[in-house]
Amino acid sequence: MSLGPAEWQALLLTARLAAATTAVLLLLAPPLAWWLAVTPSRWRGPVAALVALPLVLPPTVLGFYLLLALGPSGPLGALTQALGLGTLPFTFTGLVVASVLYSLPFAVQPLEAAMAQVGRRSLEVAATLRTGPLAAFFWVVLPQVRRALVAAGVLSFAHTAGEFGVVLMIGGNIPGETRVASVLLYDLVEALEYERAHALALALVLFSFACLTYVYSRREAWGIGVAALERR
Amino acid sequence: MARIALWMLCLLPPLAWGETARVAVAANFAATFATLADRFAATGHHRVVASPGATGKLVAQILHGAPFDLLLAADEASVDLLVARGRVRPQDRYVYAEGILVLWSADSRRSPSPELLQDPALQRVALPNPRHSPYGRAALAALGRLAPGRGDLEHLYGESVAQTLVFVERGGAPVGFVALAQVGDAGGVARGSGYLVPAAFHPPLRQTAALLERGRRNPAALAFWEFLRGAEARRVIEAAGYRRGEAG
Amino acid sequence: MSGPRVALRWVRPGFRLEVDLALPDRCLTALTGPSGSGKTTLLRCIAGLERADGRVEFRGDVWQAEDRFLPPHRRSVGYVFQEASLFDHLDVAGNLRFALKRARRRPPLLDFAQAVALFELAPLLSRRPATLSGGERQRVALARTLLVAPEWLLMDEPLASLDAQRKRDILPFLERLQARFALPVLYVSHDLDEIARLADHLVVLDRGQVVAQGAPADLAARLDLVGALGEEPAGLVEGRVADRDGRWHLLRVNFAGGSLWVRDGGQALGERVRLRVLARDVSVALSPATDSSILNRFPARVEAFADDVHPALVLLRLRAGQEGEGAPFLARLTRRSLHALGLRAGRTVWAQVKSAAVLE
Repeated sequence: MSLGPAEWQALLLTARLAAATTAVLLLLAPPLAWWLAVTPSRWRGPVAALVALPLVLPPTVLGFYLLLALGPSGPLGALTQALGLGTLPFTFTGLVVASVLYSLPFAVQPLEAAMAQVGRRSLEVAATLRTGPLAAFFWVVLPQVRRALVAAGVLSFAHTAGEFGVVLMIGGNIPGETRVASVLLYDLVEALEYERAHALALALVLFSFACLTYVYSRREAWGIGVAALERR
Repeated sequence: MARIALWMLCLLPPLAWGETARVAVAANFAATFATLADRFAATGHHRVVASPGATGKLVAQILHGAPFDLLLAADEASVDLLVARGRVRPQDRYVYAEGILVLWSADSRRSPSPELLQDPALQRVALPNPRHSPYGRAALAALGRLAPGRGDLEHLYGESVAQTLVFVERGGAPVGFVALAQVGDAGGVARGSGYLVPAAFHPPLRQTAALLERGRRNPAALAFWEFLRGAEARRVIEAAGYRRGEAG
Repeated sequence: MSGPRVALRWVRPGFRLEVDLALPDRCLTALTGPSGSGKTTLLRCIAGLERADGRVEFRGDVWQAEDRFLPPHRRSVGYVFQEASLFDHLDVAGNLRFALKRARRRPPLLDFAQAVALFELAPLLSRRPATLSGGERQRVALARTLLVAPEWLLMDEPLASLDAQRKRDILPFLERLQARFALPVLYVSHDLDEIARLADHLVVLDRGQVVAQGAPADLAARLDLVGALGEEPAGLVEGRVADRDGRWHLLRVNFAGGSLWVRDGGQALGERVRLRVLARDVSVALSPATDSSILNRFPARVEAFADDVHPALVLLRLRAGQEGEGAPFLARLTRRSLHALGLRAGRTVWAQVKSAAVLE
């Protein structure tokens, strides 16, 4: 049982997609999680629900709406075309956008839990030490949730690597561009190539297992971040 | 070592001296297309890569902006739709093959036949979802002719002929309707056992190729478009288990 | 230089804080009052952690006015929180350096080594906050606050979360602080001992209003403030050690209008001390009873009385000395004794003091 060029291509593409998605999420999730952790706004509930939606929605629903919104006749599609970016569905960039939304709760929730633990008090203490809110976020809040940040990154990466439904809807199964490992696996099964399918599936299982082992082995130290994930 | 080099080649962006065309391929034609792609690559610098799927889904993706150069559909109606929507010029289409429907069993001793469909012991038959698979619609019509009294027969729908094949192969149904090219070739059914459904029992499976907007600007797509209509491609297609399409 | 001026209004459903204070510069002002009286809120408003309406002025700088609101990080306050506020992700040295890096005023109040020495932090420098005791944490927090070079120190019950022993450990640091830096300090506390020991000026807050301010000893003996100044009414007396009786281990402390024998705590002759005398330890007689076990008695004049917590009890305000010219005391009597003795304001009596504590 070994992996052929098509499988390696798909696995590498998967890794690239997961890495890009994780990078975007690590930029996007901390401020959002912080806002959710400390805001007294009445919009907190709806926004938190929106972030958590991908946990309960079939990925195809998300994919479907993204297809409509980002497609040539969708509002966002019109925008990206006007900006000269073309349309995003069926491109690698489009997959990154979709994966970011799809994996958002996996990045935001552990961070939010850890940040709620850190709380506003840290920010107040920092303020009385001549540290403004932005600097305090970088030098006080983020360092205190660094373990949750690693957890968020690993989970985002693993979750993105395992996604299928969204990619199927807006990916288009293009080798080297959008044919990630899970989609190739589907193709292999349909072509009755069980040998190759086994090898690829096993690679995915081992990878996901390694990621989760990493996260859960550190649950003591990571405390509430992982606990929040387990509550689901 | 050679193997590693091969992987590396696949990871590289399309090489400077050749172009790549992206082809949306109906699931039933995926295996045949792989042979065609190899032969095509041997003729020049260009490459084609396949995105296999159910025809209906591929058309939906094209309508939403999927970057395909060519479509090899399982039917004619899908291309009609694309022409009507202005995505394909009327002259940029032709029937590249006519599909042959098979009632198939994974068991080589079962030898499916019209009689089998009448047997009350048979409770379930697999077929592609007629909603988005031309083979599914053909299978439904064939069932009307082969087993008119079997309203009780349970239908197990696959997403495409490819998934239908997996269902039957894995025992989800004792028999199912698939394409001949999936389970055999011009010489007949090679894997398991099957019954070739007469063409008269269903609307013809006029598998239509279309040159899409993007493909008109892509040298690789245009080259493959020519190749597909040539004598060599036609031999490959017929050998794979399709009836001859329109003359090129 | 004028001291801080604070005129603030902060209103929330069910609570209104409204104060107008001019505080003395370069001394420690204690802020006290029952819980829920708005002490912490006032401190937070001054620091800019809460947004109140009004004006905050410090040595000529306007921190807050109608058209102006300096955010907390731009006000030169140092803030010591009630509970641990150290950054968990940094060790003790890291916490101190965090403040040092952000100090604006030059020259600083003290440098790193001085802070470590003053608060005896050398053995703790590489420890994580989670591994420190409550007292150690507050020492680090104090050092960190000073390292940021504040011009006005705000302390919110910095000892409240500590047990008695730890409090005794920290108090000397606070006293040193005051002696060394001559910063204005606003110190929230509801512990009269702490206040008596540290404060030069006392502000009493009740239900969001300033009900009294002045010297701690004057306020402690005010009958109308008894409820606001802690659970156990007591008088505060400033005195000087006048005599030592080695045989009985006693010290005589002279104060305006009299003197008291107290347990010998090792103070030097001539040292200034503050005494706390609980109202329940003071009784009253019409003649000097020498056959009692009570050691301390001196003439005093009855100034006023007020209801106490129970209808059977009354609180008396006394002033030491035949003419009532000396230090104020509080005494707790039964209403029946009051009646039996026929006490009224202006009457001279003998005050008998069962015990007095030297605040050290």
